[in-house]
Amino acid sequence: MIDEFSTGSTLPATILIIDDQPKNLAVIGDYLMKCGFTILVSQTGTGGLRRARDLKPDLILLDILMPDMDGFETCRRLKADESTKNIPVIFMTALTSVEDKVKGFELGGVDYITKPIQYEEVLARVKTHLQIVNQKKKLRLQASVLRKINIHLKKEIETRKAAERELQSLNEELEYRIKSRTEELSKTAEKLRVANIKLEKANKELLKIDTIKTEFVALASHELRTPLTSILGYAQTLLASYSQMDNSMRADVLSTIVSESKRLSALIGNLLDISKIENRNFNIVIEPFDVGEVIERVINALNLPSGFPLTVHNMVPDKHRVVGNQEKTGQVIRNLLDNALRYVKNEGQITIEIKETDEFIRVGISDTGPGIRPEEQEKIFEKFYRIRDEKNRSFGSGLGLSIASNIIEAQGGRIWVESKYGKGSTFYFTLPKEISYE
Amino acid sequence: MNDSVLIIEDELLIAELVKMNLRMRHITCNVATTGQEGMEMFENQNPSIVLLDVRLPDTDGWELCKKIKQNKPDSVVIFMTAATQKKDREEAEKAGADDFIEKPFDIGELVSLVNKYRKY
Repeated sequence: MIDEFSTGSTLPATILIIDDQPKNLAVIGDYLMKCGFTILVSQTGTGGLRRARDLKPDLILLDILMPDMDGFETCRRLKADESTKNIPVIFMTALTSVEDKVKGFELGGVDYITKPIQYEEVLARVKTHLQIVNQKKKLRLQASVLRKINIHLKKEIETRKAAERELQSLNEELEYRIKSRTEELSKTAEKLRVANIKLEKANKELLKIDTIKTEFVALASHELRTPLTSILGYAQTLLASYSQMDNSMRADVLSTIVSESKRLSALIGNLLDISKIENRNFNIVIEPFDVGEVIERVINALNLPSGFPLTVHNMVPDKHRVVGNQEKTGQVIRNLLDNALRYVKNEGQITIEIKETDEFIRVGISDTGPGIRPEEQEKIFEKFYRIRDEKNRSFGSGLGLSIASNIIEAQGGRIWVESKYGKGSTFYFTLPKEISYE
Repeated sequence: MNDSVLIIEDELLIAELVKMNLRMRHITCNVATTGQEGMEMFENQNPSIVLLDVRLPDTDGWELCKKIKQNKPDSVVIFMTAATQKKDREEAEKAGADDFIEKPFDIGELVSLVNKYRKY
């Protein structure tokens, strides 16, 4: 029974009874004490207030009609005091008017008991109100627990939210990293693809160069074997059939051996030149020089018979010079003149013309030889290409024009041929003019 | 068919060299310097042996060899070639060549080779 009224502690519920009639106090107090309650009593409103403040009873039974301070005033004061306002007050009264009852409720009373008092009624109402108090306390406790739980939950929610934010930012970070990694990878893949293409290209280029080299070696060895066949063959013939030959025949054979040896030697020189050019080992010193002077020197070195029909028209003022390599340009002029002489033989004539344009000086070497068919005009600058003309066979190495073209291009010039088949050819080359600061 | 040798070679010095050596051994021979000239001389003179260069100004030796073999399968074709590549030899074999001699050749070897194939 006590448990039922306990207010959370193990102590029994305390009831304060305020009544000016000692008899009433004794009767109700005894009865309630028997029921297991702790009883406090006061015969005045003032004393009741003090006891209530000091001892904090769980419930107050309050008489209305008292001499010093009536129950209504006492209740008002109880309800006005922070420390006592939550203690339920049950009025005890002989008054039966509705106004009084209403007044009691208005002042904060929770119930009333009508005198003469019925014990069971008192007990029932006390129990009810203590239960209510108890419930309220429990509720308050639960509310505070709930508040705590709520706070905890809020914290938890905050923590979780923070964790979620953390997670989200990590996720974003991760996504960003994946994205940038993917981009990086695709860039790398692209770079690799490009590098691969470059490699493939380089590889093809190398294979091409390799093929060209192999072909070059095959062609070169073929070209070298031709004069060598003559040299070896004529020497062997001379040795084996010496006695069968007369002096002039012997001299012919010997001069053939000599001229073919020279041809072989020139061919080897040309092959070395080509090889240097192809290995980009072809560094030429570039400086200003007078192309007219070089032409003159080459012509003098040819030792042409006097009266040979070779004319030079130099239309360039003395001060205008070209920029290039004097020696190599001399070699080109020598090559072109050799070709021209080979084709005109002793019947035609050769004309050299030097002209200037805005940026270049152009040299043209014309012959009245057989000319070159249009389809062959570009091919003649290729290595080992020889004119396929049965009537006008050349006995050169097939390298002269290829070398000339490489030399001229290395100096920033151009070389080409203009020709009418049957009427002769003109080989042109240009070299950059020296810039004069007049 | 007669006992003569036809030399088809565009390098005049080499053609003359071969001709000189064969004639000193009393072998009749003639020289052509192009494919066309060579074919005409082959048909007119009916030689038993043809000494043939691979590179000619108007055709290559292989084509000429095929024509000669179609024309007269009995005639002997010997290639004189400066090309040492396998391919050249294979082409010559395909064209029906009987033998080869590589440039630069030993004159004695060339003469023995010609004698080996002479029938009369």
